[in-house]
Amino acid sequence: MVFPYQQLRVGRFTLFVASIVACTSSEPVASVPNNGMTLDAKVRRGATLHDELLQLSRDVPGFAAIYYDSLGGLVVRSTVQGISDASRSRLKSFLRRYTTASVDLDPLVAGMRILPAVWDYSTLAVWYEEARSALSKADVNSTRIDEYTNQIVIGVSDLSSASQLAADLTRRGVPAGALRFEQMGPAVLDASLTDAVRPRVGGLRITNANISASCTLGFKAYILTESGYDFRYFLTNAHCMTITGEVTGSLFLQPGFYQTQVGVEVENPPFFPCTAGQCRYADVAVVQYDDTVTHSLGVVARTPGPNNLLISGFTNIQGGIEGAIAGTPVKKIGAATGETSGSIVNACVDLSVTDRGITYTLLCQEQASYARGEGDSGAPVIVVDPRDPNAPYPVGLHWGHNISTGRANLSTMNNIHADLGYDRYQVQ
Amino acid sequence: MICNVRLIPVLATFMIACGAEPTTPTPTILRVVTDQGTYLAGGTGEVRILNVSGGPVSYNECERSLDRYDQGTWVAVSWRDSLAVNCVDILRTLGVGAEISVAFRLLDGLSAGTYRWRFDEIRMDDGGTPLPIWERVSTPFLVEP
Repeated sequence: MVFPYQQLRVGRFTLFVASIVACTSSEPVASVPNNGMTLDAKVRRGATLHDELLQLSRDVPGFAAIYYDSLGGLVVRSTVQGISDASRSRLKSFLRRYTTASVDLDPLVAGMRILPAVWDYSTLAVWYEEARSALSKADVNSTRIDEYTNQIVIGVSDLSSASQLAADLTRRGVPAGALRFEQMGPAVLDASLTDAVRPRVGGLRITNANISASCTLGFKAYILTESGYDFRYFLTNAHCMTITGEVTGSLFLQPGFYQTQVGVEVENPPFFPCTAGQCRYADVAVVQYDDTVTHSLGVVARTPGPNNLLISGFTNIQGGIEGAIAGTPVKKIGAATGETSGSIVNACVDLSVTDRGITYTLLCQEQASYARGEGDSGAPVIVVDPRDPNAPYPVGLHWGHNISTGRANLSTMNNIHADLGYDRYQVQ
Repeated sequence: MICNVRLIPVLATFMIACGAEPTTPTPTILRVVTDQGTYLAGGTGEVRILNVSGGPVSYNECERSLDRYDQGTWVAVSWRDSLAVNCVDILRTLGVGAEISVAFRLLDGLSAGTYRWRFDEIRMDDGGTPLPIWERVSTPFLVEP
């Protein structure tokens, strides 16, 4: 029997999606595009795939999972050896509901492989319910029974939260070996940088509620405390705060008014006297996330290009560089103009700025040729390594532009650390 | 002929309203007014922007120009102390009935004449539609040497 691999993959994906849809909504689903599969009749109120697998587990002793392998062969995982004719018949009736009519089930079931499992589906389902309750936690974004590994898989936005969650679940009777955590981004459909996006990542629009001003979320940051790493911070520009150079507890929302509060300003280094008057090394301030807010370390949203705010993906930044020399190609992801590209034009320029009636000088800033706009303040600027384009490095935070040359201005990571402390607020 | 220079802004306004730019509508969203009708070159002043509309507008006051009225048309002139001026890229919101003040200093050698401030980054709060120019220019004022 020939099973087009792609069709099987689509079918499996469709089953998975269908189960999610059914699990998260009590409304019936009229039709799911399924490449020939006939799921619409099966995905109905009160009968999710999970429900059907649970029933299968009651009917087929030891049943733990069923899936196609990469070659199209049917696999059943079971806690018991062997399988009775009655169980084969029951599996066939189940498969009939999840297979196109043209597929001959007899040879498929006759040729299936039976692999061992530690826990049967009914047992996993009990623990799955426990894990599901974790979905109410802010940084948990998915739970599932993994048919391939015979485990409960919990998707978290930040793996640092996994140990606490695992401890909670084991206290409630879930064996540690039955749990697996995986870092998972948010389920984003047609979201843009100016939408409410969970978890919060670099590039999203944020609003200072105190002064009604929009900026861009820069990089998530963490510090090392006596009790361990504290990941609850992000960097953006100091001029996005209520007062530049003074902590006033500015409240930040994402993306804008009437949306979720995400954090409170906690650091905003004061100016220091200099020959130019008053200076800083970076236009940077630190906002502490509220405890209920999900956020991802080292993740920056990407868009298809300039003036397109639709999120096309996410990228994980690497550590290791503190800025960029002249000529380095860079990208900026800002909530006003999206992802724009350019290069560093000047690598160390002292720039005088007047904002809200206060004049100050930012020492040794970088200027670049990427496009920018009002609302891009605080945007992450990254450099893409051509050898590994999916793992860019942070260069700094965009903060403004020169009105005569049009060049974008940014503060490098090196300068950010000069203002905030070299051993504090790492971004990766 | 005796010419009262203090009448120039009034005349300019009259000319704009009656002839030079006959299609210029009356602002209905913002009131942009200077704190004086006449300034000395090199002097300082303040321009106030009041939102008189029923919805918020977005703005960045750093992006602005100084226009001089010249032979029936407004022409942008240099007004900054240095061309190397850096603006922050924040987008602020001016709520209904809210007002901001923007301080300015005129260049020492600014020619006498009729001027206005034009704010280039004031938009509707819908994400980017720029306000028509007549909504974001100040009342004309006079500069004396």
